[in-house]
Amino acid sequence: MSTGPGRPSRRVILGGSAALVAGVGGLALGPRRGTDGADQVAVGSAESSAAEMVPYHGPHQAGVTTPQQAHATFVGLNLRRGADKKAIAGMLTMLTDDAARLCSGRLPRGALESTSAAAVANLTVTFGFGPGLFAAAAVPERCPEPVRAVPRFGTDALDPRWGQTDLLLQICSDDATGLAYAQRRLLRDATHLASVAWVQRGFVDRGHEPGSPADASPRNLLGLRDGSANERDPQQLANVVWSPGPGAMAGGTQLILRRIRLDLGRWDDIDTLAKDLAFGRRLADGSALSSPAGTSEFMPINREAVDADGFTMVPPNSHAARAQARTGAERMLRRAYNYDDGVDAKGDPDAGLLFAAYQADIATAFVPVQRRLAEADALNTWSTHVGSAAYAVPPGVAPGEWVGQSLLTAAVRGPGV
Amino acid sequence: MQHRRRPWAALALSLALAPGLAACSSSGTDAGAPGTAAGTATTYDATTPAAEQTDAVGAGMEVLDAWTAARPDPAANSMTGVFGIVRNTTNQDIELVSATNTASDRTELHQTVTVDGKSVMQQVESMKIPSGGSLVLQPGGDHVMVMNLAAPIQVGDTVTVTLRTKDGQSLEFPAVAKQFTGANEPYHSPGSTGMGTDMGSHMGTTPAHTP
Repeated sequence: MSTGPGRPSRRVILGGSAALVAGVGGLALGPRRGTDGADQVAVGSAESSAAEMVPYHGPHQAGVTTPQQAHATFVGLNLRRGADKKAIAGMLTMLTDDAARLCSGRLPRGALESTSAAAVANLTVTFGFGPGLFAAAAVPERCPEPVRAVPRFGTDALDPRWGQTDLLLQICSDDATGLAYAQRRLLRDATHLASVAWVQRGFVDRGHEPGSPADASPRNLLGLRDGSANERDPQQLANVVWSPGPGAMAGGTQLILRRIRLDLGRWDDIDTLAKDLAFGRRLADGSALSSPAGTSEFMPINREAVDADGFTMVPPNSHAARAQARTGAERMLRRAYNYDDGVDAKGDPDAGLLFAAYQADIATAFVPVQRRLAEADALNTWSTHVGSAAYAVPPGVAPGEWVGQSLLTAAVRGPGV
Repeated sequence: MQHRRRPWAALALSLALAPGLAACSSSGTDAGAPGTAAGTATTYDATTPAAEQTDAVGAGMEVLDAWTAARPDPAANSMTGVFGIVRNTTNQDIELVSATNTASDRTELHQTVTVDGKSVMQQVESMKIPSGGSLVLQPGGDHVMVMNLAAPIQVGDTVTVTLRTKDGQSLEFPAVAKQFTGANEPYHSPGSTGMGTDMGSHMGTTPAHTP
């Protein structure tokens, strides 16, 4: 916690530039959806449709730095016994073909619908590989070590039901019907070789709060704005998430997916000030407690700030203070979704957060941050990690390739692959 | 995308208007309509719908979006269909007269017709693709029939199919095998009972497989 008096702020250390964000952030991150559509001009159906398409092909998989869509489904699959590299390649070839078509509004190969079955609505399909897939493909050493070695944390209450799988499909869309269609079509080309271990569905909402900024982070079920600390400068964000290589993971990323169950009934029964102090930010607007109320949520937390009486303004055990990156390598892109999977007989919801975070290296980002949170985080009173899975997210796909092709099949692993 | 989808919409309309195919098109409702041969109803001259991938080019043709229904258990069902779009890129009509495949020793060109109110498929001598037009091979319509399967076709496998034209040219293309529960029209062979063994459904009434 103690830092020298001359130590620059996190934002300065990390090199983020507010001016740069304002200038090119939206462009480089792709089309930012407005909250009311006022910033989008309706120019005919073809153009409107194109504006709602996220290119599938490219140097990185979509669905990571893509502006967060409203709906997400994470599907964890385990390879059937006997699945080998050839069979995996065949499955991934079909899935890549399906994903490219679905994300561009084309029917999957073999679909009989006479028109596109559902809106594209910024559909993205992102593939992640677990250690078991690398092993089945006879290249276990190519699975990044941090994906294989996520440690246990003291506060974990992990249920194997939500555990590690060999393959992950992350499907995101602003259209729940289109997402359901995509999921169905993708699973058609996967279930011959892999069985579904779990499906975790999530949602976020933005733009429904009168007076809130258009780019306000969505609220989680605790009512807290989630993701305020994400890098907004595209170059910084790229540094955070994309693997620099060497090797065939260059341009890929690592995903940690944690299912965090929330005790919402008890949380609802504490007052707002107590919530603000537990979070380290204000419930109302997400502003850091080290800044005056009404300050942008994107102004970083200052953990050293003290008030007139000399008291630390952000409680050291507040979530935002504990979670704040201490070094550049601790940064990650949080892209969490809420889940709400019904209620039990007593009326208690099975609800919480699908904490999905992307980073170049889980070992230097999620792990130290989560270790700090497990040691002490005021929100631990109301939150329990019940699921955990980590994936290598291969780099993007060029036309004619299948996802993960070079990662699984390149003869020589080395720089420049 | 809307402009790219229109050819499909037009195709669906032409299918709906062709009584013989209405029963086995996915949107068909009048399954009891008296049947006639497919004729040229499954060809169209509009722009071929955008395909992700052209699977083969040659002999004045392009094959797009080819696939076949996987058959993991040939003992239960030793036939499968090959589907896709065959585009005639020449300024002359093309007549397909035969086909072969790498998964079995017997391949036929089939159309689907309605007999006694039921969709059945039967062999045809040839299929005509008008100049600039396309032949749509799809479940419930025209297709290449693979018969006498001895070995399984697993999902993800590729079957290589060769089309031969009346003027002696040929075009080979790969068809990837996908999970598919439809395309089970009984095989109607004039002069025999000809019905398949595990039938009872066709695409007009059977919902697609939902895992």
